[in-house]
Amino acid sequence: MRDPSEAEDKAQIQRFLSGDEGGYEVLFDKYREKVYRVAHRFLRNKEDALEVTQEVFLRVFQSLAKFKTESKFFTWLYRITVNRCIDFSRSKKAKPTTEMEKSAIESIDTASAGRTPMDPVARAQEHELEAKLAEAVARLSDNHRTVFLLHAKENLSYKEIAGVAECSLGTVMSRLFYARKKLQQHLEDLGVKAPGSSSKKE
Amino acid sequence: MTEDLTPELGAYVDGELDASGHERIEELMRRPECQELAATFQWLDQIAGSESVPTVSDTEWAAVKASVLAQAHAEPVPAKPESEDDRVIRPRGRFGTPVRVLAVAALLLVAVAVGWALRGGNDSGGGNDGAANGAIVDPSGPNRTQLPLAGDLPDGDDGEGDDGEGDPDARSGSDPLEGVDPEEASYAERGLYAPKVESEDGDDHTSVYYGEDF
Repeated sequence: MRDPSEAEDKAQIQRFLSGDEGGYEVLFDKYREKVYRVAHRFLRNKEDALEVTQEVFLRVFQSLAKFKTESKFFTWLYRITVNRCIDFSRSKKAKPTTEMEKSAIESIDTASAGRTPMDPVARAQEHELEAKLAEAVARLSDNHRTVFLLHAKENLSYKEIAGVAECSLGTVMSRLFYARKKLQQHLEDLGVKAPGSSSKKE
Repeated sequence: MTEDLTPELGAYVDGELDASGHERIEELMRRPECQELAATFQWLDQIAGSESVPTVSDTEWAAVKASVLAQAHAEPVPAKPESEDDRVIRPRGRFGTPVRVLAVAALLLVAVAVGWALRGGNDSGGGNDGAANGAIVDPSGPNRTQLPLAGDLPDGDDGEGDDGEGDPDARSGSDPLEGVDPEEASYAERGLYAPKVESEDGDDHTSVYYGEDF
């Protein structure tokens, strides 16, 4: 996910630092959806995701003066978001399943809104698969979950993930590999087999 | 089966592998189990990527922004770092714990000295008060100066607390006496409670810096 407007971000940061809050508001409007989406990937709950989004932007407001302009703003923002999500999920364990289910249903409805009408059975199956994947992802360690979500859901490159997670490219590669292997195993434990995967266990 | 498969396989699938690794992985990819694993990775990415998130209305966004700005203006000074994203490693007060020990010791000494002084005063000016007749002075009697005991001091650092240093997973704890000022000793000597000391920015000095970008 290349951001061609990196220079514009920095201009807005300078604008904010020189006393014009409009610069901050531009950044808020530009990145609010991304931050919220990442938070929702981690927390699987709209209210929690919005709460974390709010915390992240408050932190950004308070810390922009410390932002090193040689870094990418969005990498810095993602890092704050991921860390807040991890903190949040540790301090307040996931909401009851009903909330998650409701959220998942909302997700499906939202996702389906722009598509051709889906067969109700297929829709239910997709819903179930996503719910199981979410459960499997939730079982991953923080490090594995972070790289998987940033890669698979946010389409960040390995280099960008390395920037967010503050690790090497090799570490990203390794974490992502083992995250997927574990996900495959967790999904099998939940009764989901990847299409085409062999029936015999290794 | 996949012991010899390396993380490079995932990078290959993602198009992230540099040219030098391609040859080896392409060799591996001829094996059915590798093809299967690659297909599984792609399937995982596909189902993960297909999921969308609930939408947030413009009204909700306006409320979030208003709330952020209101809080930001209410708290112009950055709040105490709570998470890894902006923790700062700061040196723990080098003399914090010894000073606290000294303060407690000084308090005890002052208490003993005052006790002795009071007892001496009672003895010398006792007259018919019984002390002069060899009666034992009750140290808990009304003349005993009430000084704060060690246990009355603010909860202290045991010196073993988790300071989170060197552990990026550590969560910041609150240590009210961290970074205590050496002046605490003089407070103690005067029989006063030492004030809780915080740095100017309100940091309790237990935080861990995690984001290099700050």
